[in-house]
Amino acid sequence: MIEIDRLTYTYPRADRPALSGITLRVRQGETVLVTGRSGSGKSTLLGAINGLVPHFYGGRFSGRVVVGDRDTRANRAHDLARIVGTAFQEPATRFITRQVTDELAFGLEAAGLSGAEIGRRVRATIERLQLGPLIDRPLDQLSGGEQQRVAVAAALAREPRVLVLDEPTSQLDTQSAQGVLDWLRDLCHQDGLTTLISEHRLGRLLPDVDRVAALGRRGELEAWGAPQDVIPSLAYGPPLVEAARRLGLPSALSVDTLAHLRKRLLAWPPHARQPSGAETRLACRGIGFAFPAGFELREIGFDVRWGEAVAVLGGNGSGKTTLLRCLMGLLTHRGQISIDGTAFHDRSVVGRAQAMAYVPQWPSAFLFADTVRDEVLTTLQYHGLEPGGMHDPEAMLQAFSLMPVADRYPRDLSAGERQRTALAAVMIAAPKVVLLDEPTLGMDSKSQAQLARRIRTWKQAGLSVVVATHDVEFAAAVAERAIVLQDGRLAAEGATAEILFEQPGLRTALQRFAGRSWPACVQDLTTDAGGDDADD
Amino acid sequence: MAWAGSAGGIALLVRNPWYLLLIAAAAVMIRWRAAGQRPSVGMLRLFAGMMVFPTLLNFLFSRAGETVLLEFPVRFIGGPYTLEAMLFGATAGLQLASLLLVMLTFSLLLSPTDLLRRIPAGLAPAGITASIAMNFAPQARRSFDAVREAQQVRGHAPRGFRDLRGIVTPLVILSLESALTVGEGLATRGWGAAAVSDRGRRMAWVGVGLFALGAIAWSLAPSRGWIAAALVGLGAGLLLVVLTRSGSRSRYRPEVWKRSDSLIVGVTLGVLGLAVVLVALTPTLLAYEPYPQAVWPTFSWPVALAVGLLALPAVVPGHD
Repeated sequence: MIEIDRLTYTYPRADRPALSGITLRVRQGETVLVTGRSGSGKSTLLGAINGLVPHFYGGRFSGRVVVGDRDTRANRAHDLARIVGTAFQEPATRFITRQVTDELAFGLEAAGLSGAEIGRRVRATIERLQLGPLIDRPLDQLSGGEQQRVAVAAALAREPRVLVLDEPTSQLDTQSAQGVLDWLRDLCHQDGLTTLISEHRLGRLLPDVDRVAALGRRGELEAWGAPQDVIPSLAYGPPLVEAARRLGLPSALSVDTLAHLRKRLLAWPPHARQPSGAETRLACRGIGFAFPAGFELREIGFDVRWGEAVAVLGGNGSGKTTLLRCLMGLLTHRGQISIDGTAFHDRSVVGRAQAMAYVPQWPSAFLFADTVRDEVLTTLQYHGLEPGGMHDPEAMLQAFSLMPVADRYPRDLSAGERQRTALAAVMIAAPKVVLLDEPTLGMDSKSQAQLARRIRTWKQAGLSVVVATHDVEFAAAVAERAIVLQDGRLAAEGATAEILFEQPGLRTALQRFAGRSWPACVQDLTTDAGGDDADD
Repeated sequence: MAWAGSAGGIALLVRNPWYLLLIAAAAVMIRWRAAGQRPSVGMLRLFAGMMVFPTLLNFLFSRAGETVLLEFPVRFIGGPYTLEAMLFGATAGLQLASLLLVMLTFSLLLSPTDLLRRIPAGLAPAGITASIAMNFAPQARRSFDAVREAQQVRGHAPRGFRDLRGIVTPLVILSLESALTVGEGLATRGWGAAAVSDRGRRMAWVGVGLFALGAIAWSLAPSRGWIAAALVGLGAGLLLVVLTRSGSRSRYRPEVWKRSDSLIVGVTLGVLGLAVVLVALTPTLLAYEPYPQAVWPTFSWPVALAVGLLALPAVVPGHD
């Protein structure tokens, strides 16, 4: 169905190829997982199949990609749309209409089908994909999971033979992500669709994929084959593979290995994590905020001790981001906030920035200087601080492994590098409290592990961290305690491993596998906090 | 679209402040009645701002006019500062502000998707560009807020022109990224596929050729204007056929053309036609020239009534 022959592609003005010498063949009806580090070319490979590469972006393209019987060199994306359906991450930014049925009909209108045929296909798509409750609802009022389902449905409405999905669950909470992936699996099996899906959450997908394409750091095809052959060779595999490695078991998970792994996990001694200090650093009382549209964050109260990380968990739309924005003063909120006993709730954003660092979900808007080094220097200048001592820009760049890219334009960097640049740009001010909103969005497993190590280092230095995340593996890796928000209310609070285990929808891979709360994540299986910090 | 084209076209043709004010008032009424947006202080501020800036600029830098308001015994910057320069600037500002109000009303009532659907299949790339352009302002606003927040979070309260550079660069980049995202989405959804066939493309080139020949004929032999007009008409007709007949786009929920739509399209295009004729026959009727000495702008009741008809969409019910 898809034949890629010696594909090499370089973006305009790039100094090295994004894809290098890719050759692979996908049979009809196969589901292929495309994996690799951030910036390894996963999205570019998917773009080569739907025709965005090279027609939309330009650049140098050599080799051949044939989808069905169409050579992508002779067919543009809008021509290939007849046989290739595409759904991207962040569907809300790509919706073209304002309402669900219009969105489903849009591609059919572009194809010039008759009104009656469009109506038939829209109704069939709604029925088959069980989107009935969403009909005629404005797209901007749907949850992240619902929006993703509409995006996939819109791609399927044209009845394509190939479905291309670029990180379709990256913004979804665990339950919504699982719901979308289960739904996709059923669809692919029912319709015999050829599906290519790029995804960081390997563990949930692996049972349902036929092949895995692993891309290397230079855009080359590092491994290609059945999951059981490819996954053991990946530097960072899904949690169970990593757990087996940590315990010295084979990373190819045979039935025997899995049984042995379960036995070892069940025998692992419980160990409650403790923060490095006992005193309260950040105290929040009665934090509340009401949006004009109706959602309300209701009187949230919690403490964070010195050297402690608290995870803020909850589904899409539960209020995690709103809480962090209130803490930073970006929303005019109710309630009290103090740091080391000093009231902060009456301070402006700039005033709070003296002691708090905040990195939003997508750090792109956060970066506005000409180079990575300038980003760090700009923060110092804003705070009126002199470079040196604990505000040494070069040491900060070193600490975040940013020296190799220090003179590059920040927005040209990979997702992981941009995240690190944003972190360096706020950490240079030596804050006492760090607020991170969905820091692992778009990050590969290795970058996530490095960020987790970095947070542990901050905690050892006495910093307090609040991390809002739907990534339960990451929360288990970094946070001593967790709070769970539900519809803007504080629904639960406690030790992270216990909180995650108590809520079946939030359990980590190890918890689901072993059926107990501890160990909750791979990091619980080791005391090693060091390792290679080189990234990307 | 007919209303926006007519109102915008007339705002460009007219310099008489009375009629420009009438166009602005029509736009405000339509916003209020058709979209439920009452006139706000913000809109008034925007309108006033757009008038004040050119007024000041012309007052400070134009030396023409006989009614001297200020003069200083200083070389180059001493004046004279004239009333006529101020009035000329104010009229230009009023023209810009009226045009902006028309465009704001247009973008409020017509979503980028509606615009995409109404643009002929042969003009798919133009449709994408228009859609991106209509998305630009709200996206730029979101990007502006995001960058400003980012600066505050990093310890800086942006204020004044000094901080503009720090805002403008990321603003432009974020807006371009957003435009690319929209473009990606449209391309992968099949928008613009087979917009113009090879035959259509050949016809379009013939149309362009005839158009160009007409223009050349007009410049070489203006006395035989009918030849030029025939060539231009033929060329334009061919282009129109290619643009409207090419592609194979359809509508899921086709809009029903109502009597009120015919009325509005007929009346607004009629007003535009009248304005074009008046500009050609009696240019002074719609113009306002404060130089060399300031006078009140002329006012004609029939013209005012005709321009006032642009407010029709605010009072005719049931139109789209």
